[in-house]
Amino acid sequence: MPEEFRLILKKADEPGYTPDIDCYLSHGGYESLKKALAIQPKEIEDGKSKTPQEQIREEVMTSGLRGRGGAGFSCGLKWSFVDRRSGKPIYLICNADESEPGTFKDRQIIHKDPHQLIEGMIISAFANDVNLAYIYIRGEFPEGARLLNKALKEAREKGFLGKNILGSGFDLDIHVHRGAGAYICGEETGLIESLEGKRAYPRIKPPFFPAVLGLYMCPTIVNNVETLCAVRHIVEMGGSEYAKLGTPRNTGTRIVSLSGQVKKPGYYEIEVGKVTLGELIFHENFGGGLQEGRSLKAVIPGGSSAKVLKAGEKFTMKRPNEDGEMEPVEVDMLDIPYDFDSLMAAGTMSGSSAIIVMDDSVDIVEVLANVSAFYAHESCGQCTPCREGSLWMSKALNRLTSGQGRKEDAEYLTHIATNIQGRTICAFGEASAWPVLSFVNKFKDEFEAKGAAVAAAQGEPNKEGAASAAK
Amino acid sequence: MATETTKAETKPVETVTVKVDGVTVEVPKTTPDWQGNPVPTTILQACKQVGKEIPHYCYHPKLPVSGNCRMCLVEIGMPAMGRDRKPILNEDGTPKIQKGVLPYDPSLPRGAIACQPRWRPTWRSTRNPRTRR
Repeated sequence: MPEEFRLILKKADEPGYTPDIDCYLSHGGYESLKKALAIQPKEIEDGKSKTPQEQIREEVMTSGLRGRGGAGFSCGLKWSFVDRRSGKPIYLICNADESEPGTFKDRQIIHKDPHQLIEGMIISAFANDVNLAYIYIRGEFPEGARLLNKALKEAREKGFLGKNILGSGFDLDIHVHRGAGAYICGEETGLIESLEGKRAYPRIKPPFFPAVLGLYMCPTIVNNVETLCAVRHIVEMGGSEYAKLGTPRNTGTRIVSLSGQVKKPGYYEIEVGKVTLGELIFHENFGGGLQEGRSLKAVIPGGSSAKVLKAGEKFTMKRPNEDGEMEPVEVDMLDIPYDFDSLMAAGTMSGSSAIIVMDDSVDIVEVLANVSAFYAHESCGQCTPCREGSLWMSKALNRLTSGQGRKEDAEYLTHIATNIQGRTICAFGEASAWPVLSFVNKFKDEFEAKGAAVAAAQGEPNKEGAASAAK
Repeated sequence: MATETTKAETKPVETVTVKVDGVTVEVPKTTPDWQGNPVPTTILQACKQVGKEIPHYCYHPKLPVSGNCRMCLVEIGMPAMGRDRKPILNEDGTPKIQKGVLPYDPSLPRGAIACQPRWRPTWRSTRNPRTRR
């Protein structure tokens, strides 16, 4: 029986739970921080010793925590790339620019439990010798920024932030920076540019990898809100204990934002990989199924930039059989476990874990036109294929939906999308091209029908005119 | 356009052995910029030194690398191969990547806007897509 497993949002929805520090402290708050700061250097062989920082980093590595922002990159690995020998200060940035359409998980954490994020940030900063950290929050969350600023003030008063935190000799300050609502500011290097006060143009990688040349050309770590909250729980539970949650290689819990035409849209925290996509949509503990008399048409499994899954699609995936050997099995799209690797094998991605469900009442071309209009509007305009291409795609879809489409538009869209992906500076190119590619490939008949209907409608008056002229 | 970095040699002038379009050449590891300071050689500069001109817009020797026009994209390593184990080329025999960058594709609007047969913007297609809904 698939059920929610709450770890990060365990206490947030309890009745009477408030986002202030007294409530957080009475629920066992900042205990993990005390535990982390009290870690003693551990002796290993050859007379060397491991610093507490290294021990925490190792715990995160063993936990197998993967970034919850979108790419699913290992958090421990990201921390290990940081250039610690340069002598420059290291910065930590919390990416609270939750701009992917369909995602609303970080908002829950910030609004209901901001101290959890701050505790996670202090531990992460301690583990990486960071003395200055930023929270980049999107402009559309004024309430979130207010709550975070209040929480930071409270934490400073209690001595969890500032100089010499809890007598450990570790200094840290956290600042909240409000963005102005641009989608591209959620991109790692775009965010860094924006934080520096420039226009959010993503940087060219290489050479500007944030782990080496990030904020103010210093090594920088950028982590998602949920990832940083998970660090707090890893320190509390221990890395190996955390790794037991979920499935191997896809450990821990994730907050899924379920939206679209389901009975119970909302956020659900699950163990990664223990619940399938179909259960998330149809089970009574989660989405509760579609409205009466409707059937499933398509699902976007990971925010609007992920490739769409058509209802009834089959995938071959490797699953262990009775003898423990890997064997290719045919899996229906609804039986895909909701984790990073399975969705990757199905040719899409779990992204920011935002599931958008569409039933048979939707017009797929309208959906894509809407998604594409968003990307055309949000393209930062730095590099040419994305700046031009996203607008062309949007224009083509606009004329399809407004009754001026052409028969060859489906092919035209595929042509543009294939020439955007992989040729841009940042991943925005893929984000705008993948939905177009997958929608057009999987629902080609609908796109062609739209174009053909228009041609037929245009053809009719001409025929009549010709007929009347002949008379 | 296969460009491959293989190995770096030591003093006096550090050179890198690269393969451009199947021809192995040696290029210096650093190139003086317009002020004479040595900066790492880019693929574009390396190809220019061996006589292969890569088309470019936004590159200028007196400006920092901007890399946003994407016109100078090249394939690094093995080019995409077809079933017959030969590189996939455009219809006119040029490498695929050469016409792959959208705005320079003459079959599309603005790629070569004058060449477009009867391409007229409709009133809807010129509007800001966001204002539609």
